[in-house]
Amino acid sequence: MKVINDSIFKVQVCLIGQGEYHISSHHEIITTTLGSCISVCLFDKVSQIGGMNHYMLPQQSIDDCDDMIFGKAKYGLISMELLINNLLSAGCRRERFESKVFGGANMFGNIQTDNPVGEQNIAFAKRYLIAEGIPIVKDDVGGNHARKVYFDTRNGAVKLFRINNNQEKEMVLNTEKNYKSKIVSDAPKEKKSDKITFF
Amino acid sequence: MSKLFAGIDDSKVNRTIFEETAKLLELECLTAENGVVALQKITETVENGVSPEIIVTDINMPEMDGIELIGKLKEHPKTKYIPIIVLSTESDYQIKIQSKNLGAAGWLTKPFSPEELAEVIKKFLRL
Repeated sequence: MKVINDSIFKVQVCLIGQGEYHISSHHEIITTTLGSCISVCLFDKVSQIGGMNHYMLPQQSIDDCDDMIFGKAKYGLISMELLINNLLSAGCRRERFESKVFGGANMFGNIQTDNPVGEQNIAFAKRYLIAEGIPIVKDDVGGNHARKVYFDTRNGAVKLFRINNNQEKEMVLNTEKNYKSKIVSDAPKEKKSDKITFF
Repeated sequence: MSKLFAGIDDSKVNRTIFEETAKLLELECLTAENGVVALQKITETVENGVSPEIIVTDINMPEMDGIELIGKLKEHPKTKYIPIIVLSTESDYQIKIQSKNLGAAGWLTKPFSPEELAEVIKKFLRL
């Protein structure tokens, strides 16, 4: 995560990348750029604490939505668990959360692939939030364009810019490809013994 | 009658995973969304002569968190011997030590699949 003192917003701006999340109980802008990835913004109006994540599910391990919930696509689950638990620890209440969902583009334009990762990401986010009973008050998902999202943690407002410039889209696509390669190469390093401990 | 497994988590997704896991192992499943409800349900079932064979609990929950729940279950003569597995999103060393000192039997890092949880439960229930 990069922290920038932005002259336009006049508040601290936190830039999050793939696999990151950030929460804040004071006035900040959390921003990210999305291609096929998803960002979920969660906001608790009472405590006025908000947070945003940015996740990308590994395409090759997802067969259908059930698998996304039940085990295989754990990256989206990790991201949502970490975001929610950190917000709860900061004083939010689960039943007060409102969510906004962005991203999930098909970055290959007119090239149609079977079950593109963007659509799988959208399906996961919506299914997860519905299962958790968290209302989705706004979404801007799908399409062929990248998105730049600015989330205001003071009031939960979001400013979104669609990126149709080919050069910028190419940059987003390359960043996501590199991140996906990293996820795939890191996966075999995970050991079951790290997950389960018997005292 | 099938053996009883209790899963406590404020996440509905994880409570669904508890139910899926119970189905895989052909166990009865008791779920609760926080420590208060869990304590009430577990005490009730124990009073009725059916004790959970294993309890799996999240740590970060509203009303009563997992640490307090473990403490209360370990204080009660009828629930103190039930093995408790702790769930957490991160390998928080302090919480790990705290739950171990309170008498938890193990730790499972979230998120987890029904198969992973089933593996842990099978070890305790010798299935």
